[in-house]
Amino acid sequence: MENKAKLKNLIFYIIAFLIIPTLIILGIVFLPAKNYAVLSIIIAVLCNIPFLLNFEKSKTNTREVVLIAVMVALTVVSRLIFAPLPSFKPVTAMVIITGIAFGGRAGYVTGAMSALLSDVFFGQGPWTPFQMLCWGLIGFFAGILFCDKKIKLWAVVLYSIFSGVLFSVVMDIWTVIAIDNTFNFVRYGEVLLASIPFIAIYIVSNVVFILILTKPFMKKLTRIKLKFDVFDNKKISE
Amino acid sequence: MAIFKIENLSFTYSGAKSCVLQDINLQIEEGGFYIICGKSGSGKSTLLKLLKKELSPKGNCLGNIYYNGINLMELDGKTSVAEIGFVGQDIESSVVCDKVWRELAFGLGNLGYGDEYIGARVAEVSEYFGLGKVYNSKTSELSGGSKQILAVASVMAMYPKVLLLDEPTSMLDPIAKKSFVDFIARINKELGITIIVVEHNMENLFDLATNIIVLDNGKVVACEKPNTLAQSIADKHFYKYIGLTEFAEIFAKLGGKGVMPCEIKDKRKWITDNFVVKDTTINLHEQTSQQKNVVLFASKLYFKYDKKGADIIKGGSINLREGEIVCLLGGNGGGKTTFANLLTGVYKPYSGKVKKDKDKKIAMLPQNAKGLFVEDTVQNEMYATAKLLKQDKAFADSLVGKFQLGNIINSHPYDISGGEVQRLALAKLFLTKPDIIILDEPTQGMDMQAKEYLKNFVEQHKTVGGSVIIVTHDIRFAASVADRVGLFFDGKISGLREAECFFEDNSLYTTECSILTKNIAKGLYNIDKVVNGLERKPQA
Amino acid sequence: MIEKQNPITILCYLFFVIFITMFSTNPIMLGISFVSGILLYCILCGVKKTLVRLGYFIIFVAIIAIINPIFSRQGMTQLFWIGEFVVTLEALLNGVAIGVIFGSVIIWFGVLNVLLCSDKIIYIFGKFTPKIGTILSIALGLFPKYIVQYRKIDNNLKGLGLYDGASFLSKVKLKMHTLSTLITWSVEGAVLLSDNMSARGYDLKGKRVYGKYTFGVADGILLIVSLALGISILVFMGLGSGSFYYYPTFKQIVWDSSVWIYFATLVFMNILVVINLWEGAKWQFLKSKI
Repeated sequence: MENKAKLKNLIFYIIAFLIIPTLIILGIVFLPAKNYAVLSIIIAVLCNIPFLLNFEKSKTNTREVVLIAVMVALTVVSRLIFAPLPSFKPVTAMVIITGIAFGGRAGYVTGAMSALLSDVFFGQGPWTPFQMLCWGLIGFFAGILFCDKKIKLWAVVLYSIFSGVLFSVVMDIWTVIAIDNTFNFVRYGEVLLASIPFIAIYIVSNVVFILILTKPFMKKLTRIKLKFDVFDNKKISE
Repeated sequence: MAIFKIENLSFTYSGAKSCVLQDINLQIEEGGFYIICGKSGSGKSTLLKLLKKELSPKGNCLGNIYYNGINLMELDGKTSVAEIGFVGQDIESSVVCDKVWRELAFGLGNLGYGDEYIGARVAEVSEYFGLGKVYNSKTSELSGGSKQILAVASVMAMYPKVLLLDEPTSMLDPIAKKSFVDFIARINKELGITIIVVEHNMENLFDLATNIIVLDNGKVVACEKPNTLAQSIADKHFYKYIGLTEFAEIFAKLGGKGVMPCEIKDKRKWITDNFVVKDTTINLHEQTSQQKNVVLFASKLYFKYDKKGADIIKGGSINLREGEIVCLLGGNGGGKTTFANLLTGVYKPYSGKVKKDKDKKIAMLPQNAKGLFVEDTVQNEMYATAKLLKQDKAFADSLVGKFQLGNIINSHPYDISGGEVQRLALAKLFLTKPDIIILDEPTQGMDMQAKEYLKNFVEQHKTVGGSVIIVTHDIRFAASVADRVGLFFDGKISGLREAECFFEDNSLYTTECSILTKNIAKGLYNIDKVVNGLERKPQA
Repeated sequence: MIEKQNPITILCYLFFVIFITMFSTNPIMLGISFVSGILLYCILCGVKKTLVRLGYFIIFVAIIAIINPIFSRQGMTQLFWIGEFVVTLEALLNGVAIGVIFGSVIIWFGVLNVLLCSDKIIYIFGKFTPKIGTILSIALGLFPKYIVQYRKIDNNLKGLGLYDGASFLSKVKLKMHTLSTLITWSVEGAVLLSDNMSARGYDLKGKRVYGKYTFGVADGILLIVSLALGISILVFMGLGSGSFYYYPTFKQIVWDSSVWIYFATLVFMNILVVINLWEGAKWQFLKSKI
């Protein structure tokens, strides 16, 4: 039983991390009109699908579904609470903590759905699939790296810095592609340079929120996990 | 035929030493209206949850529960979900979805019905319960009462045979309570659906019930019709704690025999037939405490949230004296809480002024104080607030003693009972060393013991020279503690008067005691005064 | 009218419109997309909002038109020199075109925002992955509650006098405290909520998510038309019809077989506009008869 589940997960990872990049390369090489903007959106949408389907097929119980919904709503609200401070947002930290507490799958869904819902309030655009993918992956890897292990705060801080940088770098790739319809390193450099102050605030906020929120937040979530018997990863993978 | 048959049921929570329920034997008849009551911790909620398979708490359960002759544990999942409806007390979590129509369809979708069938049922339910107007609304825009009605309606969409309600009205204001109770009565009378309600305040439900089941320490001590309940329990102090109506409590305390009258004219007749007023010379004297210092004074406050919005507070004024308890009555949404926030300085009035005695500190206990706890134990909660307020731990520890929190010091603030939540919130409030305290709906969702504690607490605060403002819609509680009472209506307080005069002169908005004794005696506006003010006629 | 259309149809249609717009370089195609987008937006949101959008659109196009020559020094028609940089007409107009592509896409996303309200997003997700649909519905219901609770906690801290004369840093700290309190409250509340869901059968197998939207004949027609027209326009664009380039100098627009692609695009992008106007006219007509 357990082996079968492991196999299923393995297949999922292969799809997520091998087939999608292959798709990207194939698209770049063989698509007649080399329109990178469209291509990148299609890819972003496609990338979201296996993660969401994997969640749908998983054995999450009612309490876990509700907890994810709660985390999504909290993430969106936290973005609003700190609205007066530009770029200084706890969103990434919240997604990372969810991933750590509830595992990669839940982390992905929380990240992606927070992006989708906050864009319902703040306006959707071609960037929505990218944000979903970025936040989703941040939550996903947080779960893979830290879930069910003893938490080393410095490692989480490092991870938050890394994901802060990655998020900005990826979103800037999209900006460049969108403007030029092709990828241009000079333009990319310019955009990156222009966004350095934002990236800096972003990283600082990630670190601050991770340092302050992780411990109490984990306590609260662990209590819920124990008291209500949810997100036991061994049980889910069965 | 009995819809539920409970045989020798005992239950122990996993990890607990003593059992919550002990050898319960009950028969619930189809179409009946049952109220389960008892003190906090008597096991009434546990009993109710055991009737709903999906919510059965973890623990050791002995004995059997039969639903329509089938052992509940063997009942098919879909039947259990559809036929046994359950609505809990927490309004915020009784609604799942974001839109009313989705909420109504939620259960039916879970049962696996197709869109067309669900559409038809949802239409039927919304039409029958008059939800057509809000059908497309967001659930967050509904008032507390409408949310609770929606919660029941969305259970009704599954055509249940029995409805289990766990303190459904405890978070509602009196008006919403009444309309919710009417709603439940309609379901019982028109549709013949069996109702089982757990309540610690039966005020509105009492006359509707076919049976009242009283639990004490996990045992059934009485299962009676409402009008014979009073004589079934010998211990008269017990009545105080199970939340009877005012008259039922008076009837029990005065040693009423036989069938209790249920109409107001019969109740009055019962009093005049059996009792005489001890002291007929009571004179109502207005303004007795005028000589004391005014510690808080607000005149003609005006406030609104939006620049373009309507005024919420329109000329609200108050004067609060040293050592006095003032109650502000009024329904929800009238701006009472906003007014209290103006007094504490959270909001600033755009016109009018709040003047406070410089040496006095003011603090407010908000409604549902549970939502303000952040730490993982009661002790840490106290220390964290002490740190925020720059107080030392020793002071926090002394307050733990004062508010009797010692035995729950290591519990999680979300695991303690409603009364304990309030004591913790009060203890936190006293870290600011307040002289004037404002309590916002302190009795909401509280059982009788917690109310009793609160009453003693404010009276004690009064004796040490503190002042209290209680913002509430609980007239009965106000009548039991207030020195002065005012009605908050249309953005201001109309007629802040001595409690005796307020309740004596009001004919509609007043206590049952006051209505009962209107033509018999003056000033008997709360239960204690009625019980002490009357004496039995010498038997002829 | 568009309100009653099945969300999946709408999503499919708008996807094609947006993709065609993003693939286009041809000024005629872009013009069609831009005008149709604005028209539909105007019908849905009224003139005032459209004018605001148009204002942003013009500013956006102007900025990109100015920036583009700085990066792109291609093109034959030299306009003027700024220091050592040459500004060409081709680069300038290419900038305008990029701006229009982007601006039109944003306008079409504006349409999408109006047409795909939260109800419809939940419907679409609910059809494919019911769990996500439920999560979205619950989260949308929780969101306003959390805002109310947040204000309450914040007011309580204000009532304790903690905000009086607090420094910026301690204000941020208080916000953190508020957030932390909100987290405790909401996470504990989750359990009650999930109990309520279990009581109403969320644990059962074979559940569905109810959607108000039905898939009618009109939806079928619109879906087939969007698929057929959308795919064929994209394929023909891929084959080179209606292609256009800016460098080294503009391609001449010739009125050959590619006229059909302009026509097809015009029809495709205005389907919703036409349906809307038609139903509006019908309503007016019927009303005048009464």
